[in-house]
Amino acid sequence: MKRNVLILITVVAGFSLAASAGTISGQVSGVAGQSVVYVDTIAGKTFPAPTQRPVIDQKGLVFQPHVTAVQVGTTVDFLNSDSVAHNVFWTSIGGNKKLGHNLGTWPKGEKKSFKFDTPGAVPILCNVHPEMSAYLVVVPTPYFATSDQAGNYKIENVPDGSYTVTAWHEGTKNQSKPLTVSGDGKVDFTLSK
Amino acid sequence: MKQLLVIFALLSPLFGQTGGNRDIPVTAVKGESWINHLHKKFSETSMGKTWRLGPAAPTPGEESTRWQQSLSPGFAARTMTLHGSDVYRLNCRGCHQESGHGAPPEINSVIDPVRATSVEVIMARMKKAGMNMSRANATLLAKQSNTALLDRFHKGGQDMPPFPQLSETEIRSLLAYLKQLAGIPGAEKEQVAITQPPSSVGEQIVKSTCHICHDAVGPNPNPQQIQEGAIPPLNTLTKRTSLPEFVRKVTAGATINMGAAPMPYRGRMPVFDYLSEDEAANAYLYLTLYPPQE
Repeated sequence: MKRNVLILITVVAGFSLAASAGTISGQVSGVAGQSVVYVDTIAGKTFPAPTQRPVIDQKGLVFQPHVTAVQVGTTVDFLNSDSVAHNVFWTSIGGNKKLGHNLGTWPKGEKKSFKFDTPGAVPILCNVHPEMSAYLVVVPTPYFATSDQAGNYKIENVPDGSYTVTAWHEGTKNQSKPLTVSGDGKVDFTLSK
Repeated sequence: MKQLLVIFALLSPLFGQTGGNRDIPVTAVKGESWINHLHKKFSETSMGKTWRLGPAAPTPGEESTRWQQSLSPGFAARTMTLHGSDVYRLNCRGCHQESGHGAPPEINSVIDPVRATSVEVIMARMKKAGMNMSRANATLLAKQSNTALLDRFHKGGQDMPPFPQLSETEIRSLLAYLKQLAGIPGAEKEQVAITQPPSSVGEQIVKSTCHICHDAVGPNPNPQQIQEGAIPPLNTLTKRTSLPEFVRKVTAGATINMGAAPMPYRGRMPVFDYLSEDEAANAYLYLTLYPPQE
């Protein structure tokens, strides 16, 4: 009996989720490479900080991945997989120079962590190897996606509602568009450098 | 040859004690080669792919290439003046090349890690990228990079050996040259000259360059084994070659007998034409006076 009730609850919950959440998809064009698209701050709504810790690795004198998006409050692990010492620093978060930080210089196999509590793009650099760069985009909601190289993106499980959807791309100005989600939604962006 | 050995015997008490400002003693080279430590085959390393080989073996009937030795008289007793560029040449150039760019991905460039130690370079770079940085922050970054670089010299890395044979004085002189090599403004004015006993020059060449490929101790391979890839150990070098033969092999290249029916071949060892004959002779003397150990 108990089991049947549980199954019933699961099925109902599944239906209600399907009815009230959809996917925002589209394409970011006008620029080459990966972009980040996210649902911007929702008035009166806060979200618990995620427990997952994404890793930005330094391997073969390259930051991997080049673009990472995380929800605000996320702790990111910076790993060094190279046989040489690397450094990680950023001069600002979302253009705010007061939030610049030098995480230090450390050898192979070690990692350092940092919790990002402020939304905005973080240009990540290594002082030892100036050609290395990466971007961490700290976004205010759990509804975000990193596009493929062609700019196609898909943000899943977005509850119905009216939002501002913003596109970020390295070296361009953010572009925001309003979107009302009722089921699935579609927004395309054309950015220029 | 005998005469030369007599001269060494007479000079050997001086060798190793002649002047200089060394703050660590000269010691014998020990243990397996660095490429054996890494379990790498010589042919897979950048050292095995220099194609800076010696002269081809003469065809039968042809006279072999003539070579005129030009060692300085009394070189074994003479203190040498080394600049940072010489310290680099004796210790780093074999792998990192004259330019410092190395042979990526096996051998990393030294240029970027050295440029990262300069406050001025960091500030200029950040300004160019549109991200102005304060001098205090740039100084902190530069200090960290300097510590990482010194750590690299002292402890080595996964693919790079440590260099305990380098004294603090030699490292200071080397760092000053690396900064010049990396194009850090004003570095040319900070070059440091040091005086070194010949034993130290020999030690640096043997430990930092020869020992990358040659084990310190082992049985002397026969011509068949040499053809199959065996690299003679350092402890047999002074027994199997005379000083002039050694100096010629190192600085200009010379044939080596290889194969089951031994024939002269140009061999696989790179020619270290950037070492002077006196320096190569110092390596020979060092190996004679500080016999390699297990």
